[in-house]
Amino acid sequence: MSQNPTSTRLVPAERLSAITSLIAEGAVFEGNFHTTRDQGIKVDGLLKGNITFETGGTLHVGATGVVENTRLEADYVFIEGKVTGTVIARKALEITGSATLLGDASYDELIDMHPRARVRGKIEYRGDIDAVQN
Amino acid sequence: MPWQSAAQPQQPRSAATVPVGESVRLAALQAAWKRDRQVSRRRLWWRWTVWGARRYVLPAAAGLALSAGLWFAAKASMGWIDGPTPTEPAIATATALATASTVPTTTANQVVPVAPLPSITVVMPSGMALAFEAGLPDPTVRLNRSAQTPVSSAALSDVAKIPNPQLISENWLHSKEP
Repeated sequence: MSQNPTSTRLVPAERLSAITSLIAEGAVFEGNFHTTRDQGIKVDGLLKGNITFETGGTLHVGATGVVENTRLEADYVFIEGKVTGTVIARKALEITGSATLLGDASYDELIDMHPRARVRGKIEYRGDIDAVQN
Repeated sequence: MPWQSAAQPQQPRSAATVPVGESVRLAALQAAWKRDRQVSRRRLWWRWTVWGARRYVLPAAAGLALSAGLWFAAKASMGWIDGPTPTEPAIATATALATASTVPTTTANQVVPVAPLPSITVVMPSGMALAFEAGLPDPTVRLNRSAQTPVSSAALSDVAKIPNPQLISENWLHSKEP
């Protein structure tokens, strides 16, 4: 029996289904995660370190996941848990109602934030503000 | 021999029992999604509950408590907590008695049963007593002076029966001043 991933608004479900690495709930990972491939990582445990996807990449911080003192950079960032640090989403940043973000976040294209999300930091759009709007 | 029957050669574990990495990944992801749904739903529900409680329930409860406190304070100041004022119900009951006695109990060929009236008991609260003030004139004199209309002799005799009370000065504390 296959289950659908958590319902998302911006991050495609196939991106969440293509997660290749998982830090399970209860696990503690200290260090940096770096890759040049278009992969994905899901954090359900505790991560102390940076996550960098040079190209592509999907980062999913689960509801039980905690990421501390970090710099997260990926195309798609989907936060359901608690993140302390800087988040850079090159395409879409989605913060759900169960998420807590303590730090700055920047995105290039799309952002979706639930009204019950707890964000303490700066949200910055990195795209071209003066671009021609439709 | 029993030890020979126990020494069975073990079957080698087939390769099919070892899960494939993809199935492990999918199973782990599905379990994680299921847990995510539960945790996020519970956390979101709690956040909405806390927000609603702070925004609506707490002010409503505070308003209710304030209004209840004001109501009880007003009730206590008007003396409603110890029961009704003893004089007013007595007067009302006496009026009801009078009207009940004057109203005819029978109509044309129909007898209306009259329920027995309760006994009237006037209870004065402790510490309260009626007293005439010292400066007031004699009530009999006042009644006689204001009697423009003819007063029956029975009423005058009732007034004459009122004993002249011993007037006690209420401001005796001021009399201690030199």
